[in-house]
Amino acid sequence: MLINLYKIVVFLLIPEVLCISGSFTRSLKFGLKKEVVKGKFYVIPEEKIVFEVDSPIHQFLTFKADTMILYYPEDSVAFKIRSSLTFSSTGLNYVKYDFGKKLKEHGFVFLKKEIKGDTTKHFWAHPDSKISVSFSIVNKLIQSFTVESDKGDTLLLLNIGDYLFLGDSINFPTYIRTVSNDFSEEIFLNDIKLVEPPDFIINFRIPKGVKIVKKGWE
Amino acid sequence: MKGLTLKVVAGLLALTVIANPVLLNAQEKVNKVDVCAQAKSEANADVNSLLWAGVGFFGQLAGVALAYGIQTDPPASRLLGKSPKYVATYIDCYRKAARDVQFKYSIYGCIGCVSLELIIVVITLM
Repeated sequence: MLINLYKIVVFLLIPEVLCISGSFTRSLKFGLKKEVVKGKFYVIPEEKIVFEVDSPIHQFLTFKADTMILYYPEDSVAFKIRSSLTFSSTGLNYVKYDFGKKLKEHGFVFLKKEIKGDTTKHFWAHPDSKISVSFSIVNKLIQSFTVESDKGDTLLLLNIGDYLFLGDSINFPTYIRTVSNDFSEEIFLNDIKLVEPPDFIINFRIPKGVKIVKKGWE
Repeated sequence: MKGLTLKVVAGLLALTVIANPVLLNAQEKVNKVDVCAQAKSEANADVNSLLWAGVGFFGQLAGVALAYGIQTDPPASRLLGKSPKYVATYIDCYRKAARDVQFKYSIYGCIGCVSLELIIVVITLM
């Protein structure tokens, strides 16, 4: 009886379609210049990701198959950007599930592994370019990722932290920092929660009457 | 759910890209010349010239055609928070610059391959 009651409660409380929502603040520093973008995000794992930017401009950004959609409600204009290749995301190549496999695919060779307490650090190097990569994992969660040149200069440093446990094996980072030679970027993620996805996220479409600019269909 | 965390992280990390670090307000003033120059610079940095030289070397004319035909787009996060005018200018300039780099290096690769073939023919005939 209690087990059935538990199942009913769980069924009612956990949305059928999993959606992770929250707000983000992205700060970029490049020399003396700075850019701040704020907004909200909605992630339906394996299906969709939608960003709604509030500042400095009201903008929606999402993806559909091989098309990226940018929609500006106040300007009543939208861009549909199609690409023959997947949209590239710098840094994404090395920060994915199974880093070792991806590094191997890019020609990197595993050097060694260091274990200190609950932290495991992996070291890889590329035999031709002499670029070295190291990443740290704590309790199966990536904490940092570093790319160094053959001279030991740090080319890219990525820190991911302050994971929030959302249940059901979902650990969501709330802080991402990227540093390179000439720029630094920080992303703060707040108010993260599991929600029933809003209808406009599930059925995201550009309203009628909006001017659509297509790029990539030329 | 295995790997779900990292896949979600990967999706969010589409934000972690070099972007144009212009100090913005709600009404962004777009200088098309500057935006285009920025787009060209970033396209030159992004496109893998060695890869396209290889495409031209091994693919020859087909490789060159491929280099011209494939469109390379900027990382999505470079357009996050940008005005419609900025996006329109940036994408056009970025694509053109990327295509130029792809095409140029594929031709270099193609010429390299043809030159090598000619050398082999000459040596063979000697």
